[in-house]
Amino acid sequence: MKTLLLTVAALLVARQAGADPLRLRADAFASAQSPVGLLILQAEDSQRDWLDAEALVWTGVTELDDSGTGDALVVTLRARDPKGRGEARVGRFLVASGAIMPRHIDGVSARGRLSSGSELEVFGGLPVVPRFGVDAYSWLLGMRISHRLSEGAAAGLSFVHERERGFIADEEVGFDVALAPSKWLDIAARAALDLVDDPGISEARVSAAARKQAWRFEAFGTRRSPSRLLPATSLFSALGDVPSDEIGVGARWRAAPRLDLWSSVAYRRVEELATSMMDAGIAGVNGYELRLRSALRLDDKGKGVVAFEINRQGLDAYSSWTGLRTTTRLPVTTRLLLASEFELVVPDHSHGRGAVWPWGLVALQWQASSEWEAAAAVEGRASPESTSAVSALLRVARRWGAP
Amino acid sequence: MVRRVLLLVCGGLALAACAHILGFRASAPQPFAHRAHLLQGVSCMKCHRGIERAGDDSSLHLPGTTDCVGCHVKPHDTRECTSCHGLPLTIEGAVQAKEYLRFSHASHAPKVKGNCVRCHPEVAHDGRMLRPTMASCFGCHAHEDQFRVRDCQGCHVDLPAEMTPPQSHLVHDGDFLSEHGVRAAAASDLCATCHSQRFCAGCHGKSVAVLPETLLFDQVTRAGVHRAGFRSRHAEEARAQAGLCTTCHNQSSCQSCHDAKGIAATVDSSRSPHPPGWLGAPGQSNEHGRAAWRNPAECASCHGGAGEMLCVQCHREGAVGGSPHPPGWTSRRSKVELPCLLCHGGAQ
Repeated sequence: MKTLLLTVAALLVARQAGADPLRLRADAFASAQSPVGLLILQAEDSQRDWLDAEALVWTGVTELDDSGTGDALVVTLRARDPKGRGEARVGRFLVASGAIMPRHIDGVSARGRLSSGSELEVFGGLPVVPRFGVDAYSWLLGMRISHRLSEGAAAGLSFVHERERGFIADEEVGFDVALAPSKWLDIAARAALDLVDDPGISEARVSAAARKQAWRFEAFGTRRSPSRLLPATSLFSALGDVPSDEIGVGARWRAAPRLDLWSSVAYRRVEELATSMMDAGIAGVNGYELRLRSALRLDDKGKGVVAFEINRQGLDAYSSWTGLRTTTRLPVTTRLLLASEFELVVPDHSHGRGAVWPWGLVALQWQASSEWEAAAAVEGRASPESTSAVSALLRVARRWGAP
Repeated sequence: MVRRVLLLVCGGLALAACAHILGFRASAPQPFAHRAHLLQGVSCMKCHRGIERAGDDSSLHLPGTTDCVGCHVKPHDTRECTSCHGLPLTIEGAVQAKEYLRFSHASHAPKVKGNCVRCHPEVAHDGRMLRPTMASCFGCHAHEDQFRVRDCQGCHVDLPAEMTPPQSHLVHDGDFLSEHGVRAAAASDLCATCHSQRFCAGCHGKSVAVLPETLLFDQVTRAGVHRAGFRSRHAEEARAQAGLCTTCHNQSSCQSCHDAKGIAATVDSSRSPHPPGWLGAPGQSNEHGRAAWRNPAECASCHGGAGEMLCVQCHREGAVGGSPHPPGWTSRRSKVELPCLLCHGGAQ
């Protein structure tokens, strides 16, 4: 019922949306299994440019039981100081602050900036329960304080405390840093520490990217502790710290004016118990991932593209596969576009789920005007789930106001 | 001999075709020869007539054939000069800048004393994109303060609609999809100057109706985690990168789908996803323990919530399964809190 009311309210607002500065986009997406409607509303007040609103509401039929459902993903009102000293947001929105994991909340957030280069952000509210559900005594509070160390360097410290039905679900402290020591080099790192069980890293990532003319290089490293990423109220969070690590390098080379080549290789190590839970020993499984990709633009603007990709993932009998993928995008006319995507995945061990998993899609996109757009596709696949399946996809979009 | 010549001709043709496809084309439109004109001492204003008086809402002042023939009195071609001299891409960049930037040449020309190269240094190298970078603007203007507080509207009319990828900060190049998390950690407010809430919530929201790569199925070159036949290989991907799925998905994401399709041990079905030897008495083959340690999030995706009682049956205090805690396990939680009370509080 709430979904229906929200949808009707959004549609009523849409009737006004032709007038600047309101913007509305409505998408109707239909697949053979599950039709979905999306309404996106963005509103700005030209007289009061310090105030704006945004909403994304969807409604549809679930693939699983054909029942009607829907939700509001974003309903938010934002006010900001015209001089940029701060801003506040209220409603349903996503908080992504520093090193702690993004959180979807019904609540408020506020950010204040000092001329010294320091910033303080605080947020709090109720964690979103899908489909307008309610969890009594579930709430979270968090903050991030950051400081600009120089023109190209900033560091921040964040904290979040979350309760689920009154019980502690998460408590994390995070650290993030971003450095741009020169025009061609960017370095960023973040780490989040779980404070509930055996304080330790729940997730950390470091990335350094350098670019020079036709080349770009990246080196990265990640550590994740799956049990610490789960809410502390989950029984599986009591299994302790068994981290998964990844380090790798990647490069992009503009080999010709219209040809880009990418490659990346990563080494992975997944910790696991040696024999049984009674043993203290922890062993690891070593693996790798290799990706090679090329993209050839068929015109200077890149409207037409042919791309080819090879993926190889090796770890153990349950997670090793090789994949080939090709994509094409061809403008037929200025308003009509033909696109296709094909993938062939060969698992090292099929375990009775089929030796090859092909997947393919052919789509047509028609830009009828600056306001109307339509796309249709046929998708086919053979997967571990079914030996063959074909779906039809359709999307119609209408925009009001600016694009 | 004839065969060799034929091979040579074919090879040459193939090479030429490849070069053409790759963008190496002598006959294709070239960037306008600004440098040659500069070296000849031609003033910018001679071709871009009136640009020095152009305000924010005036025209682009791009030169046409009539401007060229003032000097080049005998054109070598009857077509419009701009059809070969100058790139459509460069002109489109200028058109986009006109539409989305608040800028007045009239107020800038006197300050640089007619030296356009000061802001447009790329003309000295016959560059493809002549729009000044933000760093060029910052060279004179003290916009650093506005940049710090993300007050972009002084120059940018509408950044989300402009969709110009940043060139000098947070460059969206390479595999930016996997990088974006660590890059955004220290600059989420900078990301928000272009990307609205719905952009982030489209993937990270709790109840995403349809993933962006599924909704925009016709944008096949768009980067995405779940592209193409991801559904077929999702189990392999999840196992190889333990914990990755949990950074976006909540623990019950998988359960509804697996339950409905009967691919779960929690339903009365022969299509359990678990291999033989998964569950056994102590001392026997017992793979589930290793798997749970390796990626507890994978177990929680189906056995979370009420499904946890399946584990509690064997692993509760004093039961046959033994303690699932690792050696030296400590926690600040009380045994009457969830989930401790499930095994330690006699709640089973």
